[in-house]
Amino acid sequence: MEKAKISASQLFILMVLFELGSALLVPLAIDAKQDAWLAILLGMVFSFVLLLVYHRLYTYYPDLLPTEYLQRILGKVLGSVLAFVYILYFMYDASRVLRDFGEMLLTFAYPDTPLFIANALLMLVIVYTVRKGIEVIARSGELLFIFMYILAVAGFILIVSSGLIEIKNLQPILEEGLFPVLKVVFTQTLYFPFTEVIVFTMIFPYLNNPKKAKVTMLCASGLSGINLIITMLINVSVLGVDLTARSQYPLLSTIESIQVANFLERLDVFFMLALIITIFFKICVLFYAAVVGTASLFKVKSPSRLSYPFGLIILFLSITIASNLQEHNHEGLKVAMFVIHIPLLAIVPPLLLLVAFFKNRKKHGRNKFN
Amino acid sequence: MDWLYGKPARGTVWILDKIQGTDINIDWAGKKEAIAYQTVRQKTSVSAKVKNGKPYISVHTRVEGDIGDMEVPVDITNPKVITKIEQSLRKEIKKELETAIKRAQKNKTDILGFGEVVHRTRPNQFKKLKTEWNDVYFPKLDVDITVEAYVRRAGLRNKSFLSGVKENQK
Repeated sequence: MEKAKISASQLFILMVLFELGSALLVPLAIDAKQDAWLAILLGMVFSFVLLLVYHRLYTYYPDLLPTEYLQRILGKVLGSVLAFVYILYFMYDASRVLRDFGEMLLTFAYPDTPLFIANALLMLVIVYTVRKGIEVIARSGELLFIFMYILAVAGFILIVSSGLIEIKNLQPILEEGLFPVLKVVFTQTLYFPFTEVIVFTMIFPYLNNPKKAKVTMLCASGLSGINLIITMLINVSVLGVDLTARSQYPLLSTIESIQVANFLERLDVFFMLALIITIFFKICVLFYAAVVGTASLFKVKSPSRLSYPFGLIILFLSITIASNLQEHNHEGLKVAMFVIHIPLLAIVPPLLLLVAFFKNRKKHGRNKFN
Repeated sequence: MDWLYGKPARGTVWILDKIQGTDINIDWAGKKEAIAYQTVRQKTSVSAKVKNGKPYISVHTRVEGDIGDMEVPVDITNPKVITKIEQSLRKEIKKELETAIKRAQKNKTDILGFGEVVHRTRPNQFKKLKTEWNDVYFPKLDVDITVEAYVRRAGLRNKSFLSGVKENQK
């Protein structure tokens, strides 16, 4: 663990950028058709429960990284193994996001460039940033957060002023009842993107004011949730359900349809910039968590030294993870969701909390008798 | 003298490894040329072997590309469908290369440079074959073709517009 401190507002910014990450890119929750926004909203609300679980675990061990307190909770061997699994998960997730980035760039702007080059260029910047540590990530977050929101607001105003929004596209609400929406919530939106913030438990110990962790976390989830809801509402109301579902990148299609006064059009760059910024931070945070976690688990003195080899691993993993975009998406939604996301994000943490609760109660009880 | 048009011409250029980018159409669900595949990069290598004084040529090609156009409702969000498309692409490309080779063999003209390959890799044995290469050995040559075709991505849409039309008709 390096000696660094970040403020609550910096954590907030990182979390918002993290959650927007690749969630802005894909047709999120489109299986719920025109109720996609509702699925995102419910996913956000239910994710608060799990976020509180993560936070409660943190309050038991405020100065320790999860890789360390896992060993306290489960014992040396089992704890280390589970910590290692989480590190692998962070790296896998980072490589997935990197692949998303590369595919987006190649589909849309650079069809003849090899995927490896596109990924490697972003990875170089990320390795450099991660080497510099969490403080640098957080500070660059502050800079780009403002830029990102200027883009978002400008884009929003342009979409509204070009008269593209058709509220009718959002009706009927709850056409087939609440069940399909809930199914989407519990198989997709709850985990991607909301409870992916479990990676921030690796960042919490760096917070200079630990009391603010809870509020910051919930506010950040709330803000990014609202942003995603607005994005999905706009996508569906501009494109219609059918086109949104058929789009690889619905937000891009939405932005491409902006046309103000026959003059302001082809604003695809807005989309690219926003996506590159958010994806950059998403990978940075996941990568940083993997590096710091490994350093603490294997007692490596200087974590920054790990960033080059880990960067290479993530880069190669991002290429070999799937042979084409369809396989990549299928793997993310149908396989990784059930094999990795649900167990690691929704099943293991509550169990850990249960164990931690009994362990700590025993300790407190003994203190009382003394 | 003979002119090559269409598929044998493309097959010839393909074996010569000079394809910059092209569209390959494959049949799907009973419809001719239903899916268009755009190649992004391809690499063809020709290697030669001589066994008992008889030359053998093997052509290996590897192509990567995107799905460009679909005239039938295909659900390409399913990776299994992509695998099927890749398989039929392999067959289609192999067929094209075979027609190109057969055409050249019929004309008894080694426009594909197979003789050069044998010359380069088996210089001593080629000396015996050289004089009768175009008339005797080339037309009877056994050529082994292996094709690797990969679909990488599919542009900005992941389903055909027609798939929606079909669903509404139900």
